[in-house]
Amino acid sequence: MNTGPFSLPDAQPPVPESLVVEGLGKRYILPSKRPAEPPKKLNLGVVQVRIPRFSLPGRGTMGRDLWALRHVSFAVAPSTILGIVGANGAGKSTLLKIIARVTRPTEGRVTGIGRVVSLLELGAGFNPDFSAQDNILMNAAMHGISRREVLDRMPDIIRFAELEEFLDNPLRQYSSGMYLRLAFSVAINMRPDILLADEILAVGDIAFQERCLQRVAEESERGLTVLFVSHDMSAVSRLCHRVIWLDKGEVVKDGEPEGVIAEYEDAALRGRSREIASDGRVGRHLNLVAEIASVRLLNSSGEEIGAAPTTEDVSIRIRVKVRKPGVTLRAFADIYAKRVAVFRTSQQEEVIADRRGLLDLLVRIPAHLLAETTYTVNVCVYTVLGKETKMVLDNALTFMAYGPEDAGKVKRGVVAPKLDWTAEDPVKVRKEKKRRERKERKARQAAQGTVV
Amino acid sequence: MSDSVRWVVAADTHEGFLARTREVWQYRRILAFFSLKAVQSLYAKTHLGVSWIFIRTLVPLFVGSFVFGSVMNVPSGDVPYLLFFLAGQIPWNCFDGPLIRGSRGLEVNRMLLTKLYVPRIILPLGQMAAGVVEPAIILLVFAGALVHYRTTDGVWHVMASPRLLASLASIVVILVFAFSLTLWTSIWQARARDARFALRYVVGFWMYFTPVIYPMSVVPPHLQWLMYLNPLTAPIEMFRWGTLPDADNPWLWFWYSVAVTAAIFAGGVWYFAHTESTTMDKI
Repeated sequence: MNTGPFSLPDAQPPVPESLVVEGLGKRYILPSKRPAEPPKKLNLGVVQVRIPRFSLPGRGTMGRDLWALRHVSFAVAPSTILGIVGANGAGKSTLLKIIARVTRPTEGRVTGIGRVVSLLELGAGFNPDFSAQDNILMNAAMHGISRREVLDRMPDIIRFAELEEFLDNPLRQYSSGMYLRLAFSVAINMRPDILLADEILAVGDIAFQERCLQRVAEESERGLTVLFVSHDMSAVSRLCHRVIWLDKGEVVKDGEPEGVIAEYEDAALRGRSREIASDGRVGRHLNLVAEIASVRLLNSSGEEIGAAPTTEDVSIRIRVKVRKPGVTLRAFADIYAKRVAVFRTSQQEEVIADRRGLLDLLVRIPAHLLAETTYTVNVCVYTVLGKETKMVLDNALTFMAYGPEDAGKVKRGVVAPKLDWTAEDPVKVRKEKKRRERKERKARQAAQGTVV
Repeated sequence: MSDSVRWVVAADTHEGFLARTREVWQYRRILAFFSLKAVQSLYAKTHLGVSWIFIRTLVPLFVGSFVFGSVMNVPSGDVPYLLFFLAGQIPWNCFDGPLIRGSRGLEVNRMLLTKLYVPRIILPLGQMAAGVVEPAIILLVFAGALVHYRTTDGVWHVMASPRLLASLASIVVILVFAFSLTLWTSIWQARARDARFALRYVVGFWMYFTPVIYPMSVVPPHLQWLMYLNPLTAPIEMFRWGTLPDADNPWLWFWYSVAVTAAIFAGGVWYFAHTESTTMDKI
């Protein structure tokens, strides 16, 4: 009846999109440190009992709001592999959870066509005490898929997971790689129309990762839509047809992988990690006695820089805001590259902050140690004032290291230390050694002679 | 590719009762897996294994029947106290076990619930199924005791009569009652652990206000209506009426229990449906 532009919201769109996300928002309520009003107490003379406040479903908002996702809209055509990138806490996982129906949005809606299979965490939907076969049946049941359909696919699932010999073993005995192979194989063989994958492919070995990506690409040609969340930019750029960059719950950029990834990395590499002190977010980066105010990269003259030249010394500066004088501080920094912990450096001696205010803890990274890659720094500062507590700030700093233009370089590995290389002639070395030995023997004999 | 059904996830959609029931039916096979897991968890990582289920079911039975029957001489009419006691324990355990276990359904599966969608009501249901194991064992003991008294007293204390259907009906009412409460308590437990401790207390006291270990005849007549206000009293009495001779048939109060159960069930379905998704964020 109504065929005009103002048709019913449920009318089919002209181009059948596989997934349409409209104005999606998700609000979490963080329990506030200070309740709005003091809790009512019931005085029983000897003890006071706090009366818990009851709230009807949907009512009562205690605490502060945190929008994990807000105003997110996009549509995905079938056969698309959509990459979702962004810093931790940008809302990527929340988005997938909403599409997977694990959590309900606070506003907006998602419309999709067909079966959604999610791979949000390794081992979710598996029981370690069951055999692989039973787990396949259970996992299928959890996706609402009929037993007959699974039994038909069973050989495919097992073949792709390469688990023929371990079918009857309980999953407890599986390695994490085997777990992943099984999980992925089950998911992809459920013939999903929409596959949600959250960083999960990062677990497997390279060969299996390749096989997974290959299979995903094949299935997408047959109409599968994939939402792929990853921090592995090389995998994203290789696999995805389109990339969405989320930051603080909102879509920053949506488009061709090359462009979006370049801009995202650029922003991340600018070294300006999140403004920690200003946004007032309460986290583990502070405690009662101190607070990690900022983490920055400095050059040898003490200026803030965004990227590290590998041929020069650079420093990481952890700026701590001391709240109570007399506190003892000791810092660690864990340096990561390509998701590998490259090294941990810890402060040799504790420092005592004798006054309130700012205190900089600096660690110098010598020249010719870093490789030409992207590094992430997690910072941890122990504070002792009476008792020991620690402040942690993950992904406190992300920076890239670059080498001189002319150096003929192979970008491999996560460190590139400048080590001594020499060349020598083995014959000469042997002769030299013999001559030295002879000399020493003579000297010894001479010494003995004089004594006797 | 496969079932190309259009679906919508939105802030304000609440599927109807029928749609949700259909969904549970579609996912029904998970129930078996969860029940199995819940039963396994009863004896996981023990040396005695499955025997534990029997030990923890049987020992309280013998201790209870000895203390209340032989030491305290609680009256049980014409039947041996052991039979009377077991005929109370079967329906009571159909309430106690499923309620306690079912209430933990969301809590113990929170890892799964935050990663994968399944109709959430299946999880308490699966846990509840594990709670049925104990009354089933007691039923076997009951059957064994019947055979024993046949050889010693020469009589079958239970007659195969249509009355047994009344016992069956009362078991159904008790299970539905336990499930109706689980719809509320499982949400509470997922949100706050307090509910678990509170529930244990309440259920423990509840048994003393239910004619499980004593007959209704010891309750002063002017207080009996108070006992029957407890919705478990009539079904348990009804179970005894169906199995044992010379018990009373409290049919009027039985319908009262059915009505209370229906009300709590309807409220529970509403409550569960309206709170499950927000509970997932707090679990």
